[in-house]
Amino acid sequence: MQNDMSTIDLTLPSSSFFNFQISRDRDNDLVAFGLPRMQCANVSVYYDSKLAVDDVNLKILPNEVLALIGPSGCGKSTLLRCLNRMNDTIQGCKVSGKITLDDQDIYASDMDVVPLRVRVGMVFQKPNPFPKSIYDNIAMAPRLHGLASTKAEMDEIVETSLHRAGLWDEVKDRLKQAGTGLSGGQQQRLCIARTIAVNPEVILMDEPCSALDPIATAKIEQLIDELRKEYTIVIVTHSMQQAARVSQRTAFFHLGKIIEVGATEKIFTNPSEELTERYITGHFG
Amino acid sequence: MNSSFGHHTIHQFDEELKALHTQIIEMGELVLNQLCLSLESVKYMDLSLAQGIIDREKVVDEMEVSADKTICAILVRRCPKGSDLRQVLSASKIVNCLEQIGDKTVKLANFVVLMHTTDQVNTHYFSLEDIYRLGGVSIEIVQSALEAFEELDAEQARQVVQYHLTLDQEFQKALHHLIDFLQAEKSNVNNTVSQVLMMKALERIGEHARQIAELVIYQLEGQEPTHHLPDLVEDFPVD
Repeated sequence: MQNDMSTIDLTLPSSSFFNFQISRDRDNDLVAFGLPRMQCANVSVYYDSKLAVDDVNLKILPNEVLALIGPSGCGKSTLLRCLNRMNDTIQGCKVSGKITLDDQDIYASDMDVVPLRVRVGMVFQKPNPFPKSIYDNIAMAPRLHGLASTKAEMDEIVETSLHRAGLWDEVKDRLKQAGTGLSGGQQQRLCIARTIAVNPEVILMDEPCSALDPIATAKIEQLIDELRKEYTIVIVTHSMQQAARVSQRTAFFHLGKIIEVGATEKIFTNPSEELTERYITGHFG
Repeated sequence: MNSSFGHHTIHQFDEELKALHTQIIEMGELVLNQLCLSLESVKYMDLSLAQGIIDREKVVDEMEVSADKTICAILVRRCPKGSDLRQVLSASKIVNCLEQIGDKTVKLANFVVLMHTTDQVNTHYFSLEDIYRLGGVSIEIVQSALEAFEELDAEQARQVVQYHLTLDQEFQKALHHLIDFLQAEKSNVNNTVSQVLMMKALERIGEHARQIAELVIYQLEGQEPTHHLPDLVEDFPVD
């Protein structure tokens, strides 16, 4: 590791504070059984009286990239934000139905949203690094969640996360510099590194490349493909090309409903539903 | 779920798909015309007609190159999906089938040229009745396949696939006639080989027409073309 790593405060909260263990050695035995990592059953979401998501049933399988596509306002981002309860902060938002993570109801009254958002991380449309050093951007969440007990351990988490995000070689000599000083594509990869630093199980991505140029987009897509080996990824994208490139399954949303979910290749060559066909061929949307 | 050339949000895309469809129809018309003329040239041993067919093959090739360019441009510019993607994929294969049919018509015309250059126009000993009959069926199949493509009619395309079996049967029948002929007239082996090659060319034309029909079905319904293994029958194992 480099010598210029920041000295950090290692006074950590106890991980027993959470209602389940956060482990860096997360086993992925669900893969062997093909069981869904997350499951939405009859999920509806209202913003006050407006129905945004209408009785959605969806399984999210381990180690897949699931793309959510559909015209603006179809409810895909709303559903994505339900998967780690980001909608809790929106006044008037009401979620009904059941969403489970490894069979655990994430809307149960005893569910703590902080560890939930560790297990289900999120990357947003616009890169949003903290106004801190590159090192601290990565170290902040592991520090908060008590994932490292020594500086050496924290250094390792930072280096591993930056490696996984494909950013290490570009920033290893300037870890003390501000994260906001990086290019747009680098900032987005820093945000992904920040997300994976706490070893989530599911990563939610809300149009992660919409503010990036084609090369930066390609780097993120390559990264998504690599991350899939260890994580489950749900991505909302307006680019059907991107959905076709990065995902194994695609779900098409329209007016809050899921019209069709299936293998990406099938959805983009021979969808079962007329509405999907009309959307992907550019007849509306 | 039928393909439609209208109502894409990007209107220019409609025009491009329509232009591709028209391009293939025009190529099909030329190839069908070449097929009819090639059979006529065989029937009347018309050398100038045969040479015209051989000359026009260049136009068929140019049309293939032009259609390929259109297909490539659509793939690059539009990244088609769904029925649009199937239309472009089918178009690419249909163009190839038409080019192959064009090649076969040249083979028929070459036979006429050969008869003239070897002074056999009035002295060939075999009957061409089987060729005319096979030719008639192959013209019907190609015509029907092209109509199915033009009208985007899956039902007619299915009929073409079925009707193609008739051509297979006619081909086998004609082969048996030739064997009988050879057993009686052993001195005419060269001419008989020429006739077999012509018959084979017509059989292949029918096969390409069947492929066109199956591609029309794929374009319209997404049903993958079937790949038939030859049946174990007593007939000649030709393919």
